Amino acid sequence: MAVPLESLRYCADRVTLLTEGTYPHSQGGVSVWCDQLVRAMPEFDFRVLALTGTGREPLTWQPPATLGEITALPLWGPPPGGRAPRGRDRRALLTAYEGFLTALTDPAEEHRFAPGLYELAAWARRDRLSAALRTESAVRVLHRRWTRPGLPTAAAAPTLHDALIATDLLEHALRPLHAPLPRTGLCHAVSGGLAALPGLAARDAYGVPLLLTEHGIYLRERYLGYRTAAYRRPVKALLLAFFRLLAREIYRSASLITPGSDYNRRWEEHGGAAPHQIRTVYNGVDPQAFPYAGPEPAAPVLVWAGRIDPIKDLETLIRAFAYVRAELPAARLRIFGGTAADAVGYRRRCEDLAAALCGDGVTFEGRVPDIRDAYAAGNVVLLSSISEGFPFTLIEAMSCGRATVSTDVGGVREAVGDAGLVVPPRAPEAMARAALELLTDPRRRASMGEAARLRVIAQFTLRQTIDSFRGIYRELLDDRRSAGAAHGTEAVS
Amino acid sequence: MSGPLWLVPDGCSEALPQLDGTLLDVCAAAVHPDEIAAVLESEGLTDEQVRELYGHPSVFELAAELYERSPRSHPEPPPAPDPWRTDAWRCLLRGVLFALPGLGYVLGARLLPTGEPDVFGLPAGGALLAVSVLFGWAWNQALAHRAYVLLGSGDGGRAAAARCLLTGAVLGALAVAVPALAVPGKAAAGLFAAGQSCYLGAATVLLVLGGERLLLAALAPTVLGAALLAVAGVPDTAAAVLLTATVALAVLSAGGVAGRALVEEWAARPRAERAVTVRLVPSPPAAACLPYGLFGLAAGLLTLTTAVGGILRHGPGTPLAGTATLALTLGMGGAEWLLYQVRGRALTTLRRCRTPLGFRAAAAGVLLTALAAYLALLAALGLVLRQPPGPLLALGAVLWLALLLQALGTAWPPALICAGAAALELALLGTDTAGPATAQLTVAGGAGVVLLALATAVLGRATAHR
Repeated sequence: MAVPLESLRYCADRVTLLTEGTYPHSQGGVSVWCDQLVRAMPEFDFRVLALTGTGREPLTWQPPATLGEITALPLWGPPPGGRAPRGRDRRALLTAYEGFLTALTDPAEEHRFAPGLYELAAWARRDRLSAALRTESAVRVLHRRWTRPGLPTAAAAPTLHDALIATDLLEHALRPLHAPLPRTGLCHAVSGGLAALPGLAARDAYGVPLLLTEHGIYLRERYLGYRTAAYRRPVKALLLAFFRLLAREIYRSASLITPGSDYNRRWEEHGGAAPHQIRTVYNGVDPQAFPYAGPEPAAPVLVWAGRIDPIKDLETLIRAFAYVRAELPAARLRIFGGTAADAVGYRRRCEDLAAALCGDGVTFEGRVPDIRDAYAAGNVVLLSSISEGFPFTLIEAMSCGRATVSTDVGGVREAVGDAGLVVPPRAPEAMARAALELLTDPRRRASMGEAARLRVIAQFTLRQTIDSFRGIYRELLDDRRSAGAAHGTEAVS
Repeated sequence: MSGPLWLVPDGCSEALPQLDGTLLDVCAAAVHPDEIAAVLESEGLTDEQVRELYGHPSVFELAAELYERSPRSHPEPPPAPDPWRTDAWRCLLRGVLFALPGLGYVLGARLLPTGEPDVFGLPAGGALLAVSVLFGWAWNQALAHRAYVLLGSGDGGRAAAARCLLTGAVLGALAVAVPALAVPGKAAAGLFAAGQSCYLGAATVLLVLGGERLLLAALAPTVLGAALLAVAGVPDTAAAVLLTATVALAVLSAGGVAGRALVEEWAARPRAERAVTVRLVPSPPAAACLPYGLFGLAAGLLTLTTAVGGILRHGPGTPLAGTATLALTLGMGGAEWLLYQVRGRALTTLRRCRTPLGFRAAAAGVLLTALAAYLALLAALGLVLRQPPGPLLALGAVLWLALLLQALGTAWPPALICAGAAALELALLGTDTAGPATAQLTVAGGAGVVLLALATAVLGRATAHR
């Protein structure tokens, strides 16, 4: 007799996905991966706690029926409710905040970060934190800290405006602590940084285990992002210290860390994670969903597929194609994919560059309803990004049996192995040489394509990814249950 | 052209590689060695290359050495654009838009029947008009504030503001028009009040959603009528038609602008259907616009008592002192521009100051300069319109300071102070204790001093300049 799904789920274990700026409000590789997880494991009760921008973003993913509540917490937009505390409470909160700031500004006091953070989390649970951080006293506390002689920031002459900006940025960064925390099951943070803050608080308050997956390294992306931000040094130093110490605390508290590639392990181990805590789980695709792409086109065609964004470095791609075209005038480059809303200017620049260098050899095809057609349209698939985690487009192209030329960033080398060519990033000539090698040698192309598909089937299938996570979830939940039993408390699940 | 060209290999692990300008800048401006490591990696440097070329086991060790050896620098970011920069022409346009409806009263005065004096000695129909104007200003101030808050709340804000404005404007107009038309025996005044409330609602919608030019166009018939009146004389029906044309044009434009905002949102709606999202965004509480409504009422009372104070004190038959109101409305454009100046200069000062005390002093200076400029403008207008300067300047200062405080986020104190001042002034006039000019001067002057102190305190806070 079939057991109805509803009754199975009544006693299902809860998994709270913690996301920031991805599933289910934005597109992207991480969103695809989250969707895969939720759909493939209906035996778990998935919830999502998503950090968004303004809180008014619509869903861009059709959530599966098995997905429970989706809570969206805006990092920007109107502040969370709650009144600033008065009297003794106010003094206590400001003292806790000052201790927290000491950890961020004084290299000798970094051990005070964790106690300070959890104390602020307790205030946030009482709905007091954001309101208190928006008062004049909070700005004064930071300004006093900064102008203490002997600290490295005093040399940078911080102004009152810097104190205001830094306090505001910290207030926004700490908003996730106001989220309703899960008390049962486990938390799965799909990136480091702010998304994991509710997970840290839930672990500290209710003992909920935290699982961290890093597709890209959050701290590294913040360092690169703040280089171009228009903040003065004191602000930059404070916020980056916050992110660095937050990463350290997340690595310390996570029961398990699953980077998407071995490349990411380096930053994690450098950031304080113990090697035994780290277990690489690669992204996967369903080889049946991405079968052999069929016969290649007659003319030499290079293909790129993805979301158009500066991080994909299409300029290097177009320059490389210009070299290829010089050797093979019949070659074509087809660029498939939609443009992110804030990358429209970038796309236009790329179009201008393509027209200038390659005439009509480059076509921007726009969004294609079935990505498999994109891979099928080319002899060789290219990837030119300057930063990647473990790219889905690459393993999809490999699963379709196409030879690839990619830049050596992130987990690309681990994905490709010998089944494709890897070149340094920002090196159009090297990429062109590799592409020409493949375009002029059909047998090598064919054998490489075959090897690529075999490699995906052996190592990067969706089933393997899901089985790994299923095993990890079970392991963490059973650990928690036995830990609860050992302490004599009844495990709530 | 592969890899980081700017690191010239010399095979020696102790020596600092020859650095070019870019990497030197990066190392000097870095706040932590990991930042340098992130930059090196993003340029394509791998661990193997580092081991080969420099002998360090990984990028992190290389970055640590670079961080240690480079001197710290504090490069200033590019100057930020002034968020309070404003188009002086736009302020002028808005000032004109505040002043022109006065011409509607000039045209409409001829349509009101002369008859027995009304309550308090006001001309016939005056009480009805006064009440409807006061309610209209109070309601529309509150509505405008709520709409501005919604407008600034991100995606879909414009449509939310348009919805709020449409509902609010319609409700406000009906709340005045229906009772006004139902009052027996005052048909002309009732019609005028109804038309005025519709115009006020439409003007609020257009001013919040940025349709100033449409509003100017809608006022064209009234301006034409007033010009003809001054030159040649206008028959009653023509005046009525012109006034109705203005109201109708304003209402249609408002409907058009708001409707367009709603249509644009509907067209941009995404395909995802299910909206099980629990939103942790508190929508602006309705009570937040109460102080703005109260301030609208108080400001209206204070302005009206300027105009009709003579009648209240000395009885019917005293001429209306409408030119004071005219001076104030003409100065609104300048007042708005000066408000932007205060905020812009205070922000620049905040960026320079290193101590809270220094900032408070500098901010007070900015405030006093701007206030002096506004009072000078009002004095000039008063001179042109032959108004006694004292009460006019006092009232102007009160209103301008209250608007500044509202702009800085402090809503209740100026509303309560102005309401108290209005009540006190009415009491003084009603109990015949002082003449209108003296009453206004003392009450408004006192309120002005209190508001100035409050404004200096609020402007001197860093958090007022987010």
